[in-house]
Amino acid sequence: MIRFILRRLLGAVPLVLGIATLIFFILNLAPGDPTALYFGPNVPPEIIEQQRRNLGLDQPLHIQYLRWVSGFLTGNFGYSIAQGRPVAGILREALPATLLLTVTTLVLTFVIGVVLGVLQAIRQHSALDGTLSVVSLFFYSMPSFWLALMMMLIFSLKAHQWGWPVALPATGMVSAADYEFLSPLGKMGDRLAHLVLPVATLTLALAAGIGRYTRGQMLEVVRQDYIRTARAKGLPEGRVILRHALRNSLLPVITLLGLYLPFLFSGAVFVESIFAWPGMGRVIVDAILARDYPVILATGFIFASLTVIGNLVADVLYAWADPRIRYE
Amino acid sequence: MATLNRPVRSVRTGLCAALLAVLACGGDTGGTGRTAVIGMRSDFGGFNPITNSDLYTGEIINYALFTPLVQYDSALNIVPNLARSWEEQGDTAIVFHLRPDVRWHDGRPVTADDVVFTFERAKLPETASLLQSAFLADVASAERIDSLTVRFRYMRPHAQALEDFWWAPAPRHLLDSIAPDALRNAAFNRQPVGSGPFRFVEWRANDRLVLARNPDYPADLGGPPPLERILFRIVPEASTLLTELLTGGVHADIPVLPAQVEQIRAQPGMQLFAYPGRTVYYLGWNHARAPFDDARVRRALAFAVNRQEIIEALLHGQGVPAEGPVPPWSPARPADIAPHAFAPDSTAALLEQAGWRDRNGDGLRENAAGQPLRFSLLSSDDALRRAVVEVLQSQLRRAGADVQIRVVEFQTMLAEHRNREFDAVFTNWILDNFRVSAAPFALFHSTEADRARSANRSSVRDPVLDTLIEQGGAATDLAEQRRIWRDFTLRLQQQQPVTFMFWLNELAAARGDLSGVGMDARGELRTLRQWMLDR
Repeated sequence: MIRFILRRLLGAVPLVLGIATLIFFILNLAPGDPTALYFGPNVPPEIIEQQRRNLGLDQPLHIQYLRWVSGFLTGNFGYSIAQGRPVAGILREALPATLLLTVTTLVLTFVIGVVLGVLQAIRQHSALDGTLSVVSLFFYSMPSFWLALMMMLIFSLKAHQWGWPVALPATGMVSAADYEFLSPLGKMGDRLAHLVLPVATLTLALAAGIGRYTRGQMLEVVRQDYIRTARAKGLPEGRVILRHALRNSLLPVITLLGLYLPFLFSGAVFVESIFAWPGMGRVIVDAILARDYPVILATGFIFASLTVIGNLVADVLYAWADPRIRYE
Repeated sequence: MATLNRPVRSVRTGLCAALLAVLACGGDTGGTGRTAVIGMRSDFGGFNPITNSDLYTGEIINYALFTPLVQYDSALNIVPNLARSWEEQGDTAIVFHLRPDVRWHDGRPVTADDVVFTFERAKLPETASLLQSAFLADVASAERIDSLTVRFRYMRPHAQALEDFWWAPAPRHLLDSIAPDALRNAAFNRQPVGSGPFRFVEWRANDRLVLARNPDYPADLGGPPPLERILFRIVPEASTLLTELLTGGVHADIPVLPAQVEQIRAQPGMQLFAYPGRTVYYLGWNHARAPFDDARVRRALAFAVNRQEIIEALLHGQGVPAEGPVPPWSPARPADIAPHAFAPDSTAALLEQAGWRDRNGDGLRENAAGQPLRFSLLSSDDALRRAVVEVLQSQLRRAGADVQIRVVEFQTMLAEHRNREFDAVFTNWILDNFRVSAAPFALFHSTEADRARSANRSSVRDPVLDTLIEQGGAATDLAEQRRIWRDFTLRLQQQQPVTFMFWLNELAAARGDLSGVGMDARGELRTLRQWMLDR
């Protein structure tokens, strides 16, 4: 197993470097350049040319590439063109906001998804199963930005206008003006209130998917012989389901965790934009729209690495959990 | 069965308390402390007067964080600010006398050294400063006479010379150790030390900017502001920002979309600000490509455009037809020019004269060689522009022209426009200063037509326009300026080098409890130091 992991990691290095190189060259092929946005349409060309020289954009492409790679390998991600400050600083600020959102979402998604899947499996073909299937399909198919806007419309704007007892805040991580003046408990409550709508938007869609998957796995496992044996032994149904069937059907679901690793760091672009959540998703999109090369390259590299590691983690977890799987 | 363990019980209690706290807080910012919350759609650039390139950041620099040399009054005349008086030495130089009581927020006084330093850095090519291109192009040198006196020499006499100084000095003692080409990335830009009525407190990127009142601001300049703090919140989605305004999450929403105006008016207690701004939209024709090298074709197509229809339907009335780059609120505007007419009959007549008629009955005009009147119209993917080009397509179709719309991402549009790779383009021009001759020169002067990537992207070469622009740039008397810009605008209407469409109103909204808010072409945040929250 160790040899397998090492081999995969060694293979990952050229893979990630190759992806980053591809991003670099494709970015430079796209029309538009970083100086254009900031300087607006009116600015004279000599100012733009000077700025390009200042940023090193007038160098031939391979020189720019080598400079980037060598800076990168020494841990220097360079300066953001848009924000005029180190890229590492931007990532360091945006990451905790994203992690708060995505970790909460993932935990809730797995819990809710698994519970739903189990319920549907043990009550297969009942009215509950049918209703949950329809509801799951609805939320799974819903585009996240539409769902986000609808949630905000109902639970924030209309709730405020119709005087509901709980009107959730529409945007941001904390209440703008009042946060500093709240007690510690109030602060926690404020953060929680701000977390509800974005997390709900993300969780509803993702949990629906996990629920369907779990349901399918459970149904398959429940038909296995060892479950029949467990029942025949006289074990209570609860133990049969929770201790035996669930653990085995969860194995593939748990390995999905590895594949969600990139999501943990990339955040959800639409939800972050709509709820004004200052996370990584917005950093990436703003960087792409502004052609902020250093930021795009740094984040592209990070996601490529995370995807590779995530896949590796998923494979390893699968092998660990299921003794029948062996890698040479 | 065991009872719930202690940890679980305390979690439950904690959750209940949190829920109560949420319920108690409710949704609005009635709040504690006099903090006004302003919602904006995009983040700011660095707060450095020398390197700034963003419009709203520039407003915060000029009206909140720093003290510019001069300011504009409501008639767009220049009035003293950091400079308490000045003497013009003919039309070749000017001497400013600075106030002695303005200080940097770290306590040091603002002096002539700061002014000279800012000027010199802005003039250096390595700095790539927009101060140079927007304000200092005609100013040759700055000289420190004493700690509160500066003399500037001009390169040549020019109109509106005083307006070259609508910028704020940056602190020399904090910035002179930084290389000019590194000024843009200086850490100072994200933690500025200014000299204005508000001082910088905190800036979390893409999230919030916090400013606090400066208690030492001189009384002659208005004194310390009534608001204790201002908090800018960045909310990228327009509909979300409006929700925050309506639920009390922000006190002001800048800017607001034309389509949101009705919703704001329907809510009681809201203030709506709508005023003609600094953005003019136009249809650019590429004179290097047929058929736009023929003035008759350009004029004909201009007559085919019904601008009023577009303003009413797509801008919800929030715009005025534009005749040229001289704005409707400028003191030098030509007052008595009739708007360019919507006259489809003239379109038909002119196109016939130019040899374009429908020779095969397909509804499209062809020239003598049989080529149809077909061209592409470039636009970025902004919702408003997309809607306008679709309407333009149908209006021009009625005139017998086949317009193929090309909607591309903003950066791509900018690149193609700059590189002159387009037939026709629908885009805008934003005035970055109040010098009337700046936009006409950049857009239409023939010397700019040959420069790669200049602003004269339509490759306009008209000697009559050139002369008028040069005269307008040199005229120092207001009546003469008005006459020259009148002739200029008439020539534009007659030749249609580009077809001006409309000046888009700037729109913003604020809740009723925010008072002292005044917005006009000088900026949305102009009166920030007079804003007050009612209790």
